[in-house]
Amino acid sequence: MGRTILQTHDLIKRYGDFTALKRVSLSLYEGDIYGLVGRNGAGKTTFFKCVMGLARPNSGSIVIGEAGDKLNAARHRMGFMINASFFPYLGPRESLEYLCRVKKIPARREEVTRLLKLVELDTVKKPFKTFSQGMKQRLGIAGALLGSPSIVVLDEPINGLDPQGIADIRDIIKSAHQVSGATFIISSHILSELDLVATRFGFIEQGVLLREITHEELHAQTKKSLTLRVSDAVRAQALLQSQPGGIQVSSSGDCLTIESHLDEPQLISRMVVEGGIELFEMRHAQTTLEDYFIHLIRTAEAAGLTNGEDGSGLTNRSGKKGRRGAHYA
Amino acid sequence: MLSYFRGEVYRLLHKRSMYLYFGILAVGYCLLSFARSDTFTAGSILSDAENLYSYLPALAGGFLFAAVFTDDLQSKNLATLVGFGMNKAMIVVSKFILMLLLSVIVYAGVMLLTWAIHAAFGWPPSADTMGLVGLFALRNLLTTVAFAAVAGILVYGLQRSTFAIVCYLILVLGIVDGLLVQAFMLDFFTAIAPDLGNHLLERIANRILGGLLESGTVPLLAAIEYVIYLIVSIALSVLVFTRRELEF
Repeated sequence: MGRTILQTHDLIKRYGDFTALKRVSLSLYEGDIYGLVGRNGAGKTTFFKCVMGLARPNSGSIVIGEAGDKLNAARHRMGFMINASFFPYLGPRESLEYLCRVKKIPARREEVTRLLKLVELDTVKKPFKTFSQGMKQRLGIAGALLGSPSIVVLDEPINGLDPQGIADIRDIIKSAHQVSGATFIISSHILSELDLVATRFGFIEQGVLLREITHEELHAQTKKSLTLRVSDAVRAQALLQSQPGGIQVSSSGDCLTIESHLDEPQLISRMVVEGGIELFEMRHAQTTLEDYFIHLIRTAEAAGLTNGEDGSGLTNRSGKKGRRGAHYA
Repeated sequence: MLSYFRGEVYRLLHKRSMYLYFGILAVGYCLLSFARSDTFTAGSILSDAENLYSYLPALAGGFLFAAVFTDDLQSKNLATLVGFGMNKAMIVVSKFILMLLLSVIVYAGVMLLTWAIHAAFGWPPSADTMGLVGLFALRNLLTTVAFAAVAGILVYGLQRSTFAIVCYLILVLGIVDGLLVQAFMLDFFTAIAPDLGNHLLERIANRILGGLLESGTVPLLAAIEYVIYLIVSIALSVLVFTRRELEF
């Protein structure tokens, strides 16, 4: 885990009566590809807008780089893409040349050529207004990577793309991360896609950051299993656990869930049947990333974590919402 | 600020529609002059300048205003600039300087074209005549720049490009000026300040022109009022831009 390169603390953003961000505390470590996952309207873009200075948070703090760094100066070291948009009459090279001039990027011709090659737009001459969605997104990413920023913010970079376009963007992000070593924070509502590039994840729902988790931790939550429905689950569990090799099994009602020996379903079924237990059903099951995400949201909703202005869902004795607990990492 | 300014100049130099638009205007002006060339005299250039230049704040200024100010809204470029950490006041001031610079270039170009056309038809204007033509150009240049600064408040406050362009045109076409002059004739206003209408931008520009024509000097009070209009407009633009969040 690298040093913290971006940190928000108790960020609250309101639009009238609607609270878009509820005490969001997020940490981005150097070298991360951080996937910010949330449904549409969960608060991902609002979070990015606050970080980039496009929206003013009502309260909370943002630190980019070292504590004490001036935010606007620190933002010079960032690149971002929120809704890839450029002047409609400029071509890809001209669009990037414009940004190079504005950002005072040296050796702009070489930098622009390098990035246009990376996003495979180096041969395109036509103006931005004639671009397909995929081309717009790719140019947006190139714009965000201009000047080799230390932090790159990409908001929904795969939104509206076809499968090939999504794969292209994925490759571009991986390649840019490898070459520049920059820290990425990428939002999407498609967890399975982020899973292919991200090293850490943050799950956001109704403005509340529900959980931050590493790639490994996420996959530990999404293991495959074998589910059996039997006549006597308790006896079947005891039977399987007593076998040499120690089958990992748990029971619930008339169901058994087995998390080891997944490639030996015949062996397991024979053990159960030969033990005098009736086997009604046997199937492979897997908690997908989406299952995990939905489970996380439902758990949070059931616990009332997404309610209230501060997202704590907690009430004190007077019945008012508590002041702490927006960050459930 | 200089780097942003250079970027903006680069962008505008690559805006092909600008060349096309001003090319069409120039061709139209040439054709109009050709049709009226038999009525040219040594002094006709002045009446031409007085009449034709009064359309420039709308015809030329409207396009420049859109190119300088509202292109940013359509392309969401303001978000890019602010997200990069650029100071909002610096953006507003740079835009105003850019509008001023482009307006000077366009008005200088129009003056050159006026001179060339009259010379081509056998009526080369004298230096004194061109000096007077220059004063008419200056009068309209002043309104172009000042109304762009006023309409700039709407660009940054409302962030609606069409609305801002329409407001700019309403201002330069004298619609607001006419309505306000009518309103200032009411007893309520005449009791407070009988010459309130003289402090409207159009009248201030006329007072500056009148002073230059009569005595060759800029009336100090009119110049101060003009500068106050600019400073207040730019300050209000910065204020609303700072307070307003950028839309996507």
